[in-house]
Amino acid sequence: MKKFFRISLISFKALLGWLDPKLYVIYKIVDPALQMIFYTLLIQFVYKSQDITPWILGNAFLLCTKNAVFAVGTMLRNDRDQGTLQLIIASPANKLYVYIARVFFNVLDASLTVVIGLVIGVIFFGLDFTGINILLFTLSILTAMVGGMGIGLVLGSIALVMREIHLFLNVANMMLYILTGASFSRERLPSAMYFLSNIIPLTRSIDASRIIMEKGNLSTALQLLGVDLAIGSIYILIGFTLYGYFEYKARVSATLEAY
Amino acid sequence: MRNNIKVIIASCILQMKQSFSRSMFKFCIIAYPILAAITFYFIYMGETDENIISYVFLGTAITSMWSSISFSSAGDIDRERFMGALEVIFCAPTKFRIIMLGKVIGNTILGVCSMVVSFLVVTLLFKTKFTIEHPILFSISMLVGIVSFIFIAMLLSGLLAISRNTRVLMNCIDYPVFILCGAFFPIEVLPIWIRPLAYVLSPTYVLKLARMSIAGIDLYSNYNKHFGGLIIVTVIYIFGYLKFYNIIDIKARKEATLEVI
Repeated sequence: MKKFFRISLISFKALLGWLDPKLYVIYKIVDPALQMIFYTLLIQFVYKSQDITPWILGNAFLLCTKNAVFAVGTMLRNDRDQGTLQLIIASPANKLYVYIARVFFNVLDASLTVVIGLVIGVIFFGLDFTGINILLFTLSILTAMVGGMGIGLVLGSIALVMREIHLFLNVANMMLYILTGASFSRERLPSAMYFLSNIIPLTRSIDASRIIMEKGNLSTALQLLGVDLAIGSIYILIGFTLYGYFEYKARVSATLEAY
Repeated sequence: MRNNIKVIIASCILQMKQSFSRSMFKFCIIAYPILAAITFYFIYMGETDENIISYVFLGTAITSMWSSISFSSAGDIDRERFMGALEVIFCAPTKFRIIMLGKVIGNTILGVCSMVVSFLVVTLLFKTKFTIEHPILFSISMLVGIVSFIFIAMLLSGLLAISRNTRVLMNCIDYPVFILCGAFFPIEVLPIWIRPLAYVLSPTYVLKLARMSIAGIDLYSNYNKHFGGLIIVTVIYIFGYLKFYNIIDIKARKEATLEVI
């Protein structure tokens, strides 16, 4: 377990090694705060008198995409760029173990970003947490973040064989805004997109957090979180399988360092 | 003058080729207008065509043009530095700012394509009726707006060239502009104390002028006021850009830190 945390911490520090604390604050606090303010003002204008709490929650949860898509999504590719991918592949360590350890701190970091978004909601837009089940709400954030990291790992594995990496990750990021129904009801989506929205993580965690905020049926919320956790875990496994497949292909054709 | 124009054209053509080969730029001019229009259309679904044109089409068009011009131009000096070409451009017989102007114009030409993509998405995909009440005024305001975007991009590229952390700062300038300029909602929803800041940015005027030209102008004095505002801020950007490029020039020669500023 000690090794797990060591790998996790070193990997997280390496990922943000290019930033100084001042820039970390700009990137992880100021920018998410502005993003929250932008979407909430927009929703407040469009939905007028309606209760905008569900949409504030949706947008706060989606702040995790900075970690999921852009940090975890580029992790493996950065390994290759920095020449460490071959060392990881050649090492005798359990790859799945290393793989999961490396996203662990991102789950915590992304959760912190979501909390920042929620604080903005409380300060500027009257988001009210009085009387809600905080424990379950925290669980919904963590479940969403695990799902987000699952998406990140799938994207990260695919990014290994993509040339247009920025195009791919940014499109994936924007697709999450459309499919998760963070800012509008998913019922507005066409049927094919609605189907897609059901098979991605995050969607149900956002729904569950809305139920918890409305002080609705907590067992329904728990059920949604359970399904989302299962989908998130499937995504992590898909990501790992893809990584294994690309590693195999790279070994066969000796193209591990090629891009 | 003739030589400067030749340099601007050559720099512009080269920049367009380089920009289009970058995946982030492809995202800015092709994918972003499509995906942003879809996202904001779903948020505005059920609203009037006028609101969809005003906020979904114009919001997406202006912000994607803004992103492709300013975002890309702001990073150009950083990219040149990274490729080791900055000192070559800097020491060329033609002034550094002239070469950079060509680059920004190149980004602008491609940026206009993003506006066309937004228009196609809103009209073809969402079948929104699109009519412009004052097409000539619309064209004039867009043309002046584009010129203004060129100079604000030049100003930004100068500003960000002084920082080592250009990439992070570049990524953080989008939302403040989206909020302050009223791209997707009117600036009247902002607190009064923050609104003066909106009038420092040219996209605010461009959006107001474009909305008036599309929906119809009730008060021409209002249109003229915003048009005058756009001209004034553009002139300020021009002075700012000349000043900043002068500072870079002196700083780079004095401290010999062109590659590590």
